[in-house]
Amino acid sequence: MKVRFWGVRGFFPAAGADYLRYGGNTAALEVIADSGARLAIDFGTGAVGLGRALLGAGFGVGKGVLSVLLSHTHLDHTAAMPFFVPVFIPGNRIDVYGAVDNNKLHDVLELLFDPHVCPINSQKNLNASITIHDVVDGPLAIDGFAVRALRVPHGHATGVVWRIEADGKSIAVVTAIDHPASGPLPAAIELAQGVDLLLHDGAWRSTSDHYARRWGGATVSTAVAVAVRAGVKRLMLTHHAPQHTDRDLDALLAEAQALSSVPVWSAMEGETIEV
Amino acid sequence: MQAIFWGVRGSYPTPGPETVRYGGNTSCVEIASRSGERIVIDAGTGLARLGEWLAQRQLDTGRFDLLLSHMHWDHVQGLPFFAPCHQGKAQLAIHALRPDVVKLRDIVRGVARHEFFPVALDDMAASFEFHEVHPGRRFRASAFAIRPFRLNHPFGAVGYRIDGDNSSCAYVCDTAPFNLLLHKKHFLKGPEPLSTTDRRQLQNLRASLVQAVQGCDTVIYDTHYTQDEYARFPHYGHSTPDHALDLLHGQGVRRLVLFHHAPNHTDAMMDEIDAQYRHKGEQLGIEVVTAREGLALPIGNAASSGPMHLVAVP
Ligand SMILES: [Zn+2]
Ligand SMILES: [Zn+2]
Ligand SMILES: [Zn+2]
Repeated sequence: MKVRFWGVRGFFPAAGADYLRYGGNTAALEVIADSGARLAIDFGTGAVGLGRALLGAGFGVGKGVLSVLLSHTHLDHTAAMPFFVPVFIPGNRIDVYGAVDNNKLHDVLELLFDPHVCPINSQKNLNASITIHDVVDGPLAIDGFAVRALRVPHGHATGVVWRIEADGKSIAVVTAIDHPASGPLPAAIELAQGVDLLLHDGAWRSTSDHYARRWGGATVSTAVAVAVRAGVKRLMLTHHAPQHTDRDLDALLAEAQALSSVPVWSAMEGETIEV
Repeated sequence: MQAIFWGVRGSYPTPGPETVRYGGNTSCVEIASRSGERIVIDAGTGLARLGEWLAQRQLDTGRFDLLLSHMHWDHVQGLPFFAPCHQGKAQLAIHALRPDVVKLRDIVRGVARHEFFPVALDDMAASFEFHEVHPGRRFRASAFAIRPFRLNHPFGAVGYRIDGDNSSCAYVCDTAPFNLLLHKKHFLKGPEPLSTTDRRQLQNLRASLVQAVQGCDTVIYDTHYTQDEYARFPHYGHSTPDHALDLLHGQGVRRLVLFHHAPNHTDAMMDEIDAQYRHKGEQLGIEVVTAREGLALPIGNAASSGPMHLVAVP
């Protein structure tokens, strides 16, 4: 199983010369099993590049099938849905999975296309066949993978954290979660138990939890605590803050590594890693 | 006065190595007077960078007049990340067109909602005022006299002529040209046949725009597409540099700023576009400048507003 990082930024994109090594696009991941089965996580601006790359893999001629798991509906995880080229090509089948407070993910995503904010006016004007699924906690049937969802608190929105298994390997994507002040959320620890790769947001320095309180997201020490408690093989920090330059992110990674007994990396846009 | 470009991109932000020089943030332009008063036009992701710049310099964040051309995502998505929105003493006056029955405050609430942003409008510390813009009805914002005019864009958009410091500029974004199709409220799959009323309305739109830009020192224009791209997507609501020059030629306009660059336009492409249209502009007697992030552009009497330079964007 491979993971490709199309966008690793949180909150809003970071454009400019100081953000080139880690990359400035917001959240989008591609997971590819050895069988060739593929799923995507999140529709941040990184998904624009993924959408273009998929055109060569059947999506350009309307033969593509893709499941997209959403961690939540904040714009840094959904804004590129109207710019994801495969949605405009008839014949493609796209299933979107996620959760919102009122169990109507479809209605929330429809607001992205509202005529005030988007010239497409409605998801009805997309030519691909798009199905939106509200998930509950537990396993999900997605071809080629074993996937488990867990709904968690994330600011005023609902977040979903995911465990994905294939080829005898496992990853957990924990990027939209407010852990309680007392420590990591036990249900999230359980979900991520023993995974080969934990992707956790770790946008903030351990000392800047005032940012975490305003914008949401975890400090590196929280991310490390989750990784250690869940006994994961390695931790990858993602959802980088847009005000952090490449040098800031190097320093943040060093801070995490000093805290952690588990190997820690920091996600970089454009990288593909073998789990 | 001076125009400072905080975001010059159209449609969506495009970070990455190929857009470093022209910039990847979406539409946001600051207009500053000689004495330091300012208005901001559009709230794309460039607005978040302006907020950081202000915060770093601890500049006064009292009252902000924010003029919106319309509320498409690329023109509003920076608002919830604008630092002054989270400062109790800041006051944001938002001026915008109300395209249907929904009240302005409710449209902005619908944008800056908990489902899309970590802090929703109602939870922001700043206080907000909402002022409806009526095409043709002048108003004042900060040190400037503003004249709004309607543009040709899906669901409606307005441009603004801004006068102050004995100089003038106009912001003409987003707009399609005024010949092939008329944008209304519904989704367009492609060009639709024009009725007689449509043609008359297009003529009226063009005429009010031409009138508004008369004698302008600088016109910032939605020149999203190349001619080839426009031929493929004429119904997406944007223009080309040729459309802009065509419209501005003979109206006493001194300078055209190419703006709202398509997301697929790399720095290399922008260099070509820049060279091509600087040349074409010269022949027509219009100076052409391609907007890039951080550009501070003196408007009117250069001696009073300083030379063209780049601001260090945080
Ligand atoms: Zn979020
Ligand atoms: Zn636009
Ligand atoms: Zn627009």
